[in-house]
Amino acid sequence: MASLKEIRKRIESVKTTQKTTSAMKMVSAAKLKRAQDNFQEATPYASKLKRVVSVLSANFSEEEHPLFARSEGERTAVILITSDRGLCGGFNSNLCKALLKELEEQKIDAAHFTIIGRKGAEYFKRTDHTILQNYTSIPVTEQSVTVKTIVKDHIEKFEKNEIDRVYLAYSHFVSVLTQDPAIQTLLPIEPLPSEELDEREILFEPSAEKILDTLLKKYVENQVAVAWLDSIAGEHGARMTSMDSATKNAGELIDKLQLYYNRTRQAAITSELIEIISGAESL
Amino acid sequence: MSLKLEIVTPQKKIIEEEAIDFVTLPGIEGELGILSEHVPLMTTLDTGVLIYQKGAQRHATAIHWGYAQIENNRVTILAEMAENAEDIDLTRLEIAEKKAKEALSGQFGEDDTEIQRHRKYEAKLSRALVRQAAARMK
Repeated sequence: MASLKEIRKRIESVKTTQKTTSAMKMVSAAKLKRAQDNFQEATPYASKLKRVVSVLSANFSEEEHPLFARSEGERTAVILITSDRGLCGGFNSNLCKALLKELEEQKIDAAHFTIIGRKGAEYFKRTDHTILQNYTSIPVTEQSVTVKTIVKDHIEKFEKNEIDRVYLAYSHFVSVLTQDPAIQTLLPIEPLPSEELDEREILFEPSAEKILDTLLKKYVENQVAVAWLDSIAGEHGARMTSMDSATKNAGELIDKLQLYYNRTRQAAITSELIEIISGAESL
Repeated sequence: MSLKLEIVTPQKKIIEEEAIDFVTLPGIEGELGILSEHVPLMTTLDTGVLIYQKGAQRHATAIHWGYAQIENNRVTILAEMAENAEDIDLTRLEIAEKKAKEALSGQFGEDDTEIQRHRKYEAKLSRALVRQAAARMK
């Protein structure tokens, strides 16, 4: 049986942990609002861009552009977006597990990874896949530059036919409570359902080919950028929920320990009393 | 008929307005004036000032690189950067202009990185000038 002093120490330590987790919860709640706003403000651009691409591709046969070209090979590159820090429940491991399973199902056992965030790299270090690059602790202001470098690199490799496809894996923010692993094909670009509201012919300036070329690159870039914002919002959501339950659990543990402490203390008093009484009786 | 205008950047939606009389855009091959019933058009935009008129009011927005799509009396601008004239801080721009000019008056080598550096400052200067122009137009 633990001594009273030991129990007291235990209670103190759990209380300190509880303070930390509840502070982290509040920090995440504040950051979540920001991250969600950023994500939501980025969506109009993304949806407009998507529309423009689909209008453009209606005027094109899709095989004409190299970024639409499909090939059967197995050389796969993955852009994985995870968080830098832990203490956010299964946020990173859920995504990594889902991705690993997906790759296994497709029998890809040596993909080339570009990973944003420390946690993803830690996970895939132990697998047979190669990590080409790992970006960690990127400040918000550097995000778009980082995305540009990553995307440019992959597009170049794809155009030179060094890789056959590029996957983008990230956690999609469904709600504060749920983040779903999302794995999508970034390259070759999946043909979008073409839509045309105006039956008149569209004028292009300078030329459709030139617009399409830069536009498609922008489109790929934007997908990664939005996925990153999505993932950040999810990270804070996940951390908030997991820290909330950690705080609750700590509270329960403190209650239990306190009860145990009181009982032990009472038992000690009782046994001491019995000793005194039986001592007095024997006189 | 009137036009509907939307300007979005990767960060946020800048403008969403209806009942607009006309828009002028800084197209890559020259200024474009858009009135209602314009033919469907898609174009790349340069760094420049976009002006739109709504009733008696005139608004200016500085735009840096993007795309414009016009269809069914809807003008959609996808800009890399955009700033409304009302939000532009002139003093900050003058500093930016001075810095860019100073950098450009310095020495530049012949290799690729140096050319890139020169281009970067040129772009910075043109951005500063365009935003100043937009701010003065309001």
